[in-house]
Amino acid sequence: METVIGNPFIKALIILFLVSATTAAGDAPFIISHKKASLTRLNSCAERVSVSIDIYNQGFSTVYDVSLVDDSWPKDLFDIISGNTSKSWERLDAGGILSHSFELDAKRQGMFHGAPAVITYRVPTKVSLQEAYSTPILPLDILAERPTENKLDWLQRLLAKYGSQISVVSIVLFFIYLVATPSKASAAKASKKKR
Amino acid sequence: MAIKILRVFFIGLLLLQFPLFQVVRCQSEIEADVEGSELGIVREDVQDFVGGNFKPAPGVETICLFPKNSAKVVPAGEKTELLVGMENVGQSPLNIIAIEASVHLPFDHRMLVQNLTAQVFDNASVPPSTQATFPYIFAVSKFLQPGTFDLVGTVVYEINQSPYQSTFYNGTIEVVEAGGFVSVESVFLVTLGISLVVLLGLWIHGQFKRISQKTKAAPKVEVGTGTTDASMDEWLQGTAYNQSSSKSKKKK
Repeated sequence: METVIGNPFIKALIILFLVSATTAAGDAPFIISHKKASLTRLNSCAERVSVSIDIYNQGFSTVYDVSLVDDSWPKDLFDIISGNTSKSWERLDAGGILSHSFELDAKRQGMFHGAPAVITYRVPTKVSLQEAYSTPILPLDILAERPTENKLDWLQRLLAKYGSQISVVSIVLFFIYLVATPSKASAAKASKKKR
Repeated sequence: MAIKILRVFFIGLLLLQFPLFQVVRCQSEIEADVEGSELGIVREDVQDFVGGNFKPAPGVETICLFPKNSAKVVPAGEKTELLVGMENVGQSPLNIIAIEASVHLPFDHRMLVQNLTAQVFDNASVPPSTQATFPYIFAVSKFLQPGTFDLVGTVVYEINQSPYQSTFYNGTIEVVEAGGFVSVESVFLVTLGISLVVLLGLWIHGQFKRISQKTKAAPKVEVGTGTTDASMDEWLQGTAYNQSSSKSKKKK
């Protein structure tokens, strides 16, 4: 009887210990933010930058007045097409995720090094506003000169990606065709027999 | 005809595979470069810090997150991203030097499977009383067999010119085979399965036919040769019997 009561309790304790060991944050919130920027070439003199920022709360308590500000895109180099570089939310619960995205048009050619976005939030246990930084982004080569891709290279890439799948499917289909359709010689024999 | 088609088909397949060998060779070189990409210019003294054994600083908290991958699935040979959260509770700013990781066997932590490429940073710092996130993109060897492995991730940083090191992750990852649903093995397996089902169906159909024929078949009545018309027999053509019958017919 005692072992039955003891075991689930001990299991719960072990689980709690493991969870706390992996997060190592006590009961405070831990904001992790992931910033991603991708380039899409519209034409030879325009490039679109799509920025998406995810905010995760990996801590154990809720954070309030979450505000995201991304001022790393100077106005003389980028035009905002859709969305806004800043956003705010009321709260982010423990284990929750918030996402925000916007699009910019790049005006000038060159290498651009972006700074991380800044996230500010409030916690009940502290008076001052807390700060967190998102991941930095890799340098963006705006309007880079792309070498013209050879048709042969494109074909090679396609082959490398789908070659094995195409060949195996074609082998199987060919085998089925061989088995299902009789050969011309045997067809002639069968018609002769009928006569 | 079929053999001719077969020959042409297999020669065609062989020719199709030739350019593939070159492409595969190039790919491994490119991957190595991408894994080691930095977010800035490499520091000269990085080699002194990476691989060293330092203690963690007291005012630093670390956390690890696999974004949109709570099961910690790592496809072998493909890039996986994880985020390292650093909190600087201390009074001085923190400079991140590098993030490195290694894969170990789950049952014996001393057995090293693979050392993953370290990601070095040049200008990454965490001000005091702030949290910051850093990405770490890695790829395990594509020949690593699927299963559970131990991943140990450490971040090397310095505070006031003193190096420190913290382990942000020391747990299991699930290595799976990269590749979509259509692969060589799956296509062959599916075709084999379908053909076995079809064969079984044909056999059952044959059995049914045999059983139904046994019950339906009417008993055959032996007719004998008596009822056949003798004048219909071809083999009697030109013999005495036929000539006499034709004469009798003429007379009539």
